[in-house]
Amino acid sequence: MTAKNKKRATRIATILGLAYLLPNLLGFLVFTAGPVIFSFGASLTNWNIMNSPPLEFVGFRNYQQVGQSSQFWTFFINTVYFMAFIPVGIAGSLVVALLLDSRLRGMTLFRTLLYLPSFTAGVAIMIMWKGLYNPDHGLINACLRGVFDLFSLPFQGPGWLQSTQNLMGLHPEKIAFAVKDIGLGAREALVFMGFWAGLGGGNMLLYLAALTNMPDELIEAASLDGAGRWAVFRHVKWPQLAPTTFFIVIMSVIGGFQGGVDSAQVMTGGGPAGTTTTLAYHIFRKSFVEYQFGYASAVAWVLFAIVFAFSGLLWKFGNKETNY
Amino acid sequence: MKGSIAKGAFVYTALVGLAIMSLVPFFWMLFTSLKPLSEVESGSFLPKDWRPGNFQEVFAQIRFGRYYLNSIFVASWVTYLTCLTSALAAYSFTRLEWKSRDFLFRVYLATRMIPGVVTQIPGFAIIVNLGMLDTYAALIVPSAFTAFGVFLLRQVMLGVPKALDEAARIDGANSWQILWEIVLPLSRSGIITLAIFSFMGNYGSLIGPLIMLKSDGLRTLPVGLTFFDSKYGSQTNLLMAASVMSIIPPLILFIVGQKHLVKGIQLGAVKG
Amino acid sequence: MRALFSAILVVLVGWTLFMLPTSRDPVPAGKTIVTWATDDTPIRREQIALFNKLNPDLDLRIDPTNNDPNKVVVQSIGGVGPDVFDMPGTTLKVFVDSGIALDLTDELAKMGYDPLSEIWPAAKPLFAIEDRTYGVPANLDTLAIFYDRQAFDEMKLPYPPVNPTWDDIIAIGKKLTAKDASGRTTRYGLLFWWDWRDFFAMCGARLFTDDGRKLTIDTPEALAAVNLMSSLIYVHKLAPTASESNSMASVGGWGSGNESRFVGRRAAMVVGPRYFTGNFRRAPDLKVGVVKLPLSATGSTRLKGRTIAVNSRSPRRAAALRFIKFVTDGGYNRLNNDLADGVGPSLKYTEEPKFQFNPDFPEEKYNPIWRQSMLAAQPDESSPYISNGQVDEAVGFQLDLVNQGIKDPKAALAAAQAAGEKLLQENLAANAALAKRYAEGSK
Repeated sequence: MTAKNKKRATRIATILGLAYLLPNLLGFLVFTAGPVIFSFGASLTNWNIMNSPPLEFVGFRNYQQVGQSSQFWTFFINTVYFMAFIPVGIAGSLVVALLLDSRLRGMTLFRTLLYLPSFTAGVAIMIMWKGLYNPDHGLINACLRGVFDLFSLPFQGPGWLQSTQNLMGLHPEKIAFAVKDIGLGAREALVFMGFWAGLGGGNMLLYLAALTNMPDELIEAASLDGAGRWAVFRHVKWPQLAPTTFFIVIMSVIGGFQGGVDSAQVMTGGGPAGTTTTLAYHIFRKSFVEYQFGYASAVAWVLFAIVFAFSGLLWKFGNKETNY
Repeated sequence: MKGSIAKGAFVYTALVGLAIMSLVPFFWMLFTSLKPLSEVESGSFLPKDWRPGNFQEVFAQIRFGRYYLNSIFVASWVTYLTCLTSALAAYSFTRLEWKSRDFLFRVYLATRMIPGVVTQIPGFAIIVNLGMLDTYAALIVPSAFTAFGVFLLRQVMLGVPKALDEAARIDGANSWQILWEIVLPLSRSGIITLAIFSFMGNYGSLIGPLIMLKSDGLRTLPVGLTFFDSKYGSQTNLLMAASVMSIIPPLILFIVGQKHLVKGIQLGAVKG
Repeated sequence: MRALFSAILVVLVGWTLFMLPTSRDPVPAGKTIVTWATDDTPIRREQIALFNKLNPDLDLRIDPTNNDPNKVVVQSIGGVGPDVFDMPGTTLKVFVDSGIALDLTDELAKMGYDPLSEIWPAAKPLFAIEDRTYGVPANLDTLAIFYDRQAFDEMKLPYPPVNPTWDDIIAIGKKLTAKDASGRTTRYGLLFWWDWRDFFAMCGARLFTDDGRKLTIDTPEALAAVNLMSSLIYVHKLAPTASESNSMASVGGWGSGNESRFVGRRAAMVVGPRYFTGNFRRAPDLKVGVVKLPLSATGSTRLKGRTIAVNSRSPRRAAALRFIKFVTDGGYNRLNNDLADGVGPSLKYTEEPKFQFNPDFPEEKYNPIWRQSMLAAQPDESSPYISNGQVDEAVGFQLDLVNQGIKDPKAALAAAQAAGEKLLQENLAANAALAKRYAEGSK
């Protein structure tokens, strides 16, 4: 093609691309991008929703405050702590999806049953777990006690939602580790609860959809070649699932950094002693309890920067276009 | 065939175990909805005094029927718009080559990284300034254009072989036809999944309707449910009864969707 | 695919044509709709019914907030919002500073109502700032101890004295705490809310100096308060630990957990506000008595209440003001006092004979005790230099550690003091006008 024709072709391609994008893009710009930009502007002010003190532009002072705040780092660690179990959760969803992808009868029924927690009122689930986690009378400690009794071992039930202990021995007040802080506390309680809820949740559904879409021929071909089930999984199914896995990982990371608000609000109030306060819950409190919207926006944007950087890394490693 | 009997047994056992774990909170909900208020906090799982009248009571205390209809209506619109516009957008991001395509996609994705709390107030201000306050539009439009759907369908479409596109192009098809005849049908499972996610996400959302609405005739189920759970006291049994009834539409959508998420989409076109 | 999407679109559009006209609430002919953003409860419904009856040309409706302040805040910022709304009295300043709450002083004067003399005097900070009135309390309440007469009768013990000391309560509570064979407590002596502010108030522990410039958290009174709280649970074993109380009832019935536990006979005494009475009336066979909460020499119970304010941006200001008048009038106040929703804002209606002794509820001989407790109650302190939320954070965090057994109370209070002071300094650094005021040393 001549240079002029090539340029023209590129322009047509661009117009065509944007044309398809337009319906979504318009709405996106107004309702998603707009508020986002606004919040960045807000982070540069001392906006205290109720206008006391008077609004003024403060530049990056909010960001400075965030950097100096030891609270921020504590909550950041909390957030990361909860996210550390994400890979386990994703693997769990994959296992469940594989189970449900079998050609046995009754799969529709099982899928519905397993997805049921997502339908069940969140309130009901949290209430149930609150009861399960009760250190003295809850089912979990009762079962654990039973196991310990079998071996005649002394049993001191973990405090779960009441305790600031955690598996990494983090001290609640400062960023330090101590042996006496090791235990199963509120953080672990929420993590396990999240894992259970996630098993039959959206990730499972996504994997299921991807598995359904997978052409049978490849699997059959591999089996005929003598590959065992594990090999089939590793060399045929897993690569095919790559786009889905990538999606799930990115969404889980993004969601994970922003999560923890509901469970903190309903179950722990962010405690005990701030151990279940994630950054997102911290932002929520700063916005709607202390009305410091400018500062809260700054925290949100710092969080954004972290998420952006992290997902950028993931993107580099994971974004393959699987076309064959 | 010994191997597959063992495999089958293993699968069933695991699934039954998981199913039981999932059913427990649901049954708690169900039985609580049949209890009188005084029994709600008792230790017993089953009601001693069965009250199926609770379900009727829900209708008596709030405009449950209207809220129900509104919820389904709004969620249906959101689901439809999301699937449609996300499909078009994802098509643009995967099948068409144009300048800054990948950059713009990264921007889409980046906006999801801002915690929703800080965009709530500006979002509200925009709605008010557009004159959309206290309308169905306020419930439908903002939710229909997020990056989630675009990202999801993009990944799904990446799994559809481009070879098919080229074959069709040789046959003289234009991009519109390729989208509807080839790419979308092959992305069916993704669209169904997106539909389920969108519907459930919007069906259960509380903050939007709570803040944007004033008229009782527009309210959705989550707002109606708050009546049973105020700070002065919770009528938890009625709350659970209402919740149980609320499950039905997304449940139906899910079951119908699952029936379509079956194998059997032949890719014979490539081989043949 | 294309056919499917087109078909669905047709269906949705058709459905919209049906939904739109039916969604408009019928506007009652000749009436103006006034919206009140508040919690939807049976008591509210009665209050509204009364108002609508007395004002046939108005139609007051509830706009449910789910007790969430977000909604009013967000809507008011957007320039829309309810005509009247209520808020916890302690957040009044926020709504005044932002200009959302209308200054009612002149309007009330025109109506011939002087809020500063007619409303319970101690409640002034909940509705007025520097003698300008910005709202009217929807109701006021304070704490006292309810006791289950049957439990005392069963154990053949005398009822508690009207003016008990903590030693009295502890002794009585211990006798009434019952355990079963396995050592699990089946009935507790006393239930109370684990709210450090209640105990601080009772023991006379002040949070700030009078001008609010200095925090006074680390004091002997505060230490006494913290020790009292934990001794009731861990030393005298009168009250359940947090986890035990969770296991008694993981869901509240009508009312908060403690109310329903008391109704369920799981405790002989419960610390609670007057509005518990409503629930107790509905419980069959429950006969209660009321005694005052033990106070130290400088102590008091906390006066709490929600304040009703008018949205300054409301176009229906006249109607909103009529509602405010209604709240100050006899109809509303007597209704509140009868329904035991705390007490109504206007003091004089509790002097009426029907309040002292309500013939509909002859068993309730204790209303004078409520009146006396209310007269002695004090609202929460506040300081212009540090918000209540920040104080809660500083103290709450440290007390959590005490509960965990990680920290000893004295050290915790000292740390809370230090944390609070740090927050105060940060507030001053962020706000020049505030710092100036602080330096001038005036309040």
